[in-house]
Amino acid sequence: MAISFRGFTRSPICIGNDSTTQYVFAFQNGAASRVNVNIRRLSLQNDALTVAAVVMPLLRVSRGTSISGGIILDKQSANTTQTSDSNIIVRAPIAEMARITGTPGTTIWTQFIQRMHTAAEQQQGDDRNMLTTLIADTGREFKLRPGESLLASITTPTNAANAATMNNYFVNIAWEEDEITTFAISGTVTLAGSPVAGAIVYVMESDDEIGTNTTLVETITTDVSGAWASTIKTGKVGSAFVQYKSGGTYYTAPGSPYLE
Amino acid sequence: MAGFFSASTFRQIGTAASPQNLLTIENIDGTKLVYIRRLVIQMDATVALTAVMPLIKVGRATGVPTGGTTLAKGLFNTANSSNANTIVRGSTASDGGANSGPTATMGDVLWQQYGMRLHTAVGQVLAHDNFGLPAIVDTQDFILRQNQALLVAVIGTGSSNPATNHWMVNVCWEED
Repeated sequence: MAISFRGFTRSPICIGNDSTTQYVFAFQNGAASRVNVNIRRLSLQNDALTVAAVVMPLLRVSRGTSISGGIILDKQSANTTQTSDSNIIVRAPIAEMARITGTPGTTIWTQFIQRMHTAAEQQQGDDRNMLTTLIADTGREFKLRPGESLLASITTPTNAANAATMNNYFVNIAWEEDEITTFAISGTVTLAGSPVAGAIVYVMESDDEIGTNTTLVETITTDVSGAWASTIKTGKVGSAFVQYKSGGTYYTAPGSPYLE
Repeated sequence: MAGFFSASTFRQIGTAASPQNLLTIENIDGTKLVYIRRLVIQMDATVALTAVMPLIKVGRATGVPTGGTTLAKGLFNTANSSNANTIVRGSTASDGGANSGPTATMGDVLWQQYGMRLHTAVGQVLAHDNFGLPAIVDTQDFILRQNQALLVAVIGTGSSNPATNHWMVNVCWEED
């Protein structure tokens, strides 16, 4: 399929959390996404303002699950005519106020970060690779399919080695979105033979006819023509249901299951 | 190719032994090949060393490795799964944990690389990527055939590779 978006973003500076574990970044390709994501560059930099004579922080990246929290970062485009899939969410923490939570999976890549042994001379902020640079150098794809996520964590041997007064992290990411093949579904909501504006159509998608891994693709509010349209990923089974409220009266209609 | 995969060791502490085996990757499959695409070693040293720094050596093991900690394999694409006959071993199952191998003997050395040292323990300490194989293997095949293995080891001394050294290895490979 075609690349529909090439994006970049960066996190705000995040200070250490006075703990031996800290989630510093997450990237989620939501289950309802219409794209596969190829990560092209993922790097972290740190400035350590206070000294540490113990081993430096270790950065780990894995396919995480159950991710929430943090703040949602904006997504910048390499081409302003392109738009990112709304189901792609990039998260970063803001100190104590907005921490990321999640469950790391198998480690994909590990990297030492840096430390200041004594407060002397120049400190450099060089890139720490959060994934192998093969994905930038050779075009090898690190792929996140719909429903998959990346989670990055910092690990230190002591709380003091990740003090809020010590570490100042930020993350940069570049990715591309590769469209998944879909087929179109559409319909018109009517009531007593007339089109209904303002009806809400729920479009769902499942792996099979018994509803395995059902996800809500989108909710659509019909216009004056009563029309609605959506897409279902090739190989999946779609379904649509409608409800409508007019005055104090609630309406629904038989669903449209097994849209294959 | 059946896919692209990676594995990382936990943080391993210097043992003063020479060699100290950090990582092995072996292919025991009778028909499938393993192509090493990237091998990166990093270290942190927390005390000064005025002698020559520890040397990282990479070579094919003389036999199939044993022992150590079998490392989980990361997937670059969840549509692929790694062959169970591709086995990656580190030396510990937790950061800074007790070292337990892996057991392997290096044959001829393919590539070597200095780690780093602090001549005086002053200022910033960086942990650059040290390549265990030249970057040419990104695109030119370095192949592990049946019962072949690659071994990453540190050659040091009691003073150049003490417990105040910390090691970590990443490996990326491709399977057919």
